[in-house]
Amino acid sequence: MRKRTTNENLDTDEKPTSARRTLLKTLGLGVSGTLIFSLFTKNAQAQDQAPQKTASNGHTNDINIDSSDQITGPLQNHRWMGWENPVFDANDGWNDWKTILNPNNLPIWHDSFSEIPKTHPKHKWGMVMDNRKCVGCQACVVACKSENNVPLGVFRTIVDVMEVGSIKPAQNGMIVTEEGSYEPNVKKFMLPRICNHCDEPPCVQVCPVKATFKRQDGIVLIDYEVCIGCGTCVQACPYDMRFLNPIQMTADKCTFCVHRVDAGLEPACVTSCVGRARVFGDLNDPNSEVSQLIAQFPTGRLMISQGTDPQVFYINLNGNLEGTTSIDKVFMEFTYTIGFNTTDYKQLGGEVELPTIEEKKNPFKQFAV
Amino acid sequence: MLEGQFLETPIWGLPIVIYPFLSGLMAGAFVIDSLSHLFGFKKFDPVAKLAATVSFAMVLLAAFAPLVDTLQPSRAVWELYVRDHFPYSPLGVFIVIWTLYVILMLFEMYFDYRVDNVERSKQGGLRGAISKFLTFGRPEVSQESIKKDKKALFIISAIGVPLAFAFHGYIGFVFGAIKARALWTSSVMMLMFITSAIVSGAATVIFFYIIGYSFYSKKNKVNLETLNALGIFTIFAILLDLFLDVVEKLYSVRAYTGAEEFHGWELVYNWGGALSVNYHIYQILIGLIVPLVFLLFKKVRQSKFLMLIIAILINFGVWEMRYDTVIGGQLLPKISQGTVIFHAPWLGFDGILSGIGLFCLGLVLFFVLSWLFGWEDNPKSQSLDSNENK
Ligand code: SF4
Ligand code: SF4
Repeated sequence: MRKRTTNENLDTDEKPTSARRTLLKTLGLGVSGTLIFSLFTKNAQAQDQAPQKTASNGHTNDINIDSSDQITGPLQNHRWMGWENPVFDANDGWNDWKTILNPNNLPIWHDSFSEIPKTHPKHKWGMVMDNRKCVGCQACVVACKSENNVPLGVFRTIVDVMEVGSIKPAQNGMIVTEEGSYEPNVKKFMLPRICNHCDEPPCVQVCPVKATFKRQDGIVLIDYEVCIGCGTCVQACPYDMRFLNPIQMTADKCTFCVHRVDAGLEPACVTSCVGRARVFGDLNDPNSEVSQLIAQFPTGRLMISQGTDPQVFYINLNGNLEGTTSIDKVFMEFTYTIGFNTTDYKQLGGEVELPTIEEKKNPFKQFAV
Repeated sequence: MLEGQFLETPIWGLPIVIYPFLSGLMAGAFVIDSLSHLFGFKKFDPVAKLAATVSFAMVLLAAFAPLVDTLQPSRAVWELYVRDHFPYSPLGVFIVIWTLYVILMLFEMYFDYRVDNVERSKQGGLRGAISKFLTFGRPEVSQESIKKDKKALFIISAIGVPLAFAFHGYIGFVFGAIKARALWTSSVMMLMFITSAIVSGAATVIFFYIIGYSFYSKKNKVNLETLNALGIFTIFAILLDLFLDVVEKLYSVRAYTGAEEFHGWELVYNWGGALSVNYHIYQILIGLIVPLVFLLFKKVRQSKFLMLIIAILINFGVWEMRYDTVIGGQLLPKISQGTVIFHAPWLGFDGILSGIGLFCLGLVLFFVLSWLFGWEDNPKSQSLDSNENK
């Protein structure tokens, strides 16, 4: 069992009032003073245990690992059915919450998210999806799965393929079937979807044990050591971007690759995107690429009527995709979401049934006007 | 529609259907119980203890069903208690109200059965010893102490009825608070849950009343007047339930509601939809209208056999209502198209077998409590009640 150390931070740093902030600052000054003092006095081994890393994005990461927490030997999760499991190897520090949460000791929120801007966060991470450039190659999906070790059958990011427009019956139309000829006026759309790291995340509000939270820099995360796997947040996410992880038995979702972001890197899907359709950056910084894109192009967001204030912006988003993907307006060709707690998932070991569209008597019924 | 594509999957399966069903029995039975204690409905006196026992068994069980559905049940018990979860989390409120309710029911059971326990402690043997323990050192049976018990029961019921409504109302809130599900985000959800809880609670009390007094009681017979009163009470509950169903049905009217709810009704509940037979035939026709029509006749209300069948039909209908709400709400996908396909597996934590197991556990709990307290053979108070009736 790993020691729970994040929790204390989570609770005390919530909703910092000005008095509390002053206290925190004083404490912080004291602690950093002690640290600097200790840098001069402690021996090299002690410095090994509290290494100072300077990330490429400029800020200093203090990673403290106390000696009682040192884990020796490979950590194996037996539920992985014999596979190596890099995510759960705490020696890598991949999934170590202390590494993820402590670099800047960011305050976190479980409610009253509107307070966050008042605390003047250093960064506000967001993403822009440039729909003009997405070719639907699914490289991001693969990159995400391998970066985060996402189990079979569940996805942290997906790219839906849709058709928008209409096919009308017309004389001498291009498509000829037994029922007549049709004239198509359709367009294909790729819709890359990830967790929108909403500014008003319903998934955080409904969690009964406060396992999921919003960090000051905007990233919505789950504490996997507290989550009881009740699935309420999965129900509450209007974007269907959460799932129950069948291996670690908790809720799970896109983290904006928080371990990479904290180390000054971009999320895996962004680095792997062949068309540069995904752009990640700081929405607080007017000179960042995301801010520039949002300033220069009209952008849309998904399902804003839900009031979640999503932080993923789409360039050239067809208006029909903004709301729910109603069958009256768009025709979804493929989607890659499938839950694990179904019989379908249990069949995944043997046969994989790819989504098929049943042959219809009137194939273009859904386009009829 | 695009059936054959599995796009999204239901997250909550059978245990979450069972959970509001069982806690509905709990709330409904408590209402029947409190009608006797709180409002002095003399005709309900013979079933008050039965109703309290049903309510107690079901509240103990109600905690299991949602726990079965969490992936980390061992962690859940601890985390739900130690972490604060106000003001939003509906499931978090569960643990608070549940704990309060269990404490309240312990007091209720103590005062309800104290006189009986004093009687039984004279018998000796294991049962006598247990009864002696359950009196907690108050072996008086004077008129004064009985009066004190009644007063205590009055206060407990006065607190308990709002609490029972809160318990079941917030289950409606669990679903209503999830705005991503178009078919759940309805403001009548809470009321519908409470009303159908009362309907199913009354039916369950009728069921166990007839079975218990016909087959297990050595001294008491089924009181037809009580059965009649229970029947009349059920009629009013069903009428209210039907009215709320009509209000909810308005969601399928295009002019009345938004596109998502309208499409949801079209795809899931309306004729031709995924759950159309479940909704129209099982839930409304068999569960509500048929029992209502039969209950209108006094002869039916006083027939033990017919009332037994009606009780079963009503409970089946209420079970269908829970199923249609919980599963039906998830059949409408959030951001994909078509309808989601639901297969209830036989095995697994949310499988049919664990559901059956939960029900059996409920019956076992009820029978253990019945053996312990013996509601069907309470000599003293039963005779008191029947004297007062005359
Ligand atoms: S997209 Fe869904 S999971 Fe992500 S923050 Fe918003 S509601 Fe939560
Ligand atoms: S599944 Fe986990 S994170 Fe989601 S609501 Fe339940 S406890 Fe919270």
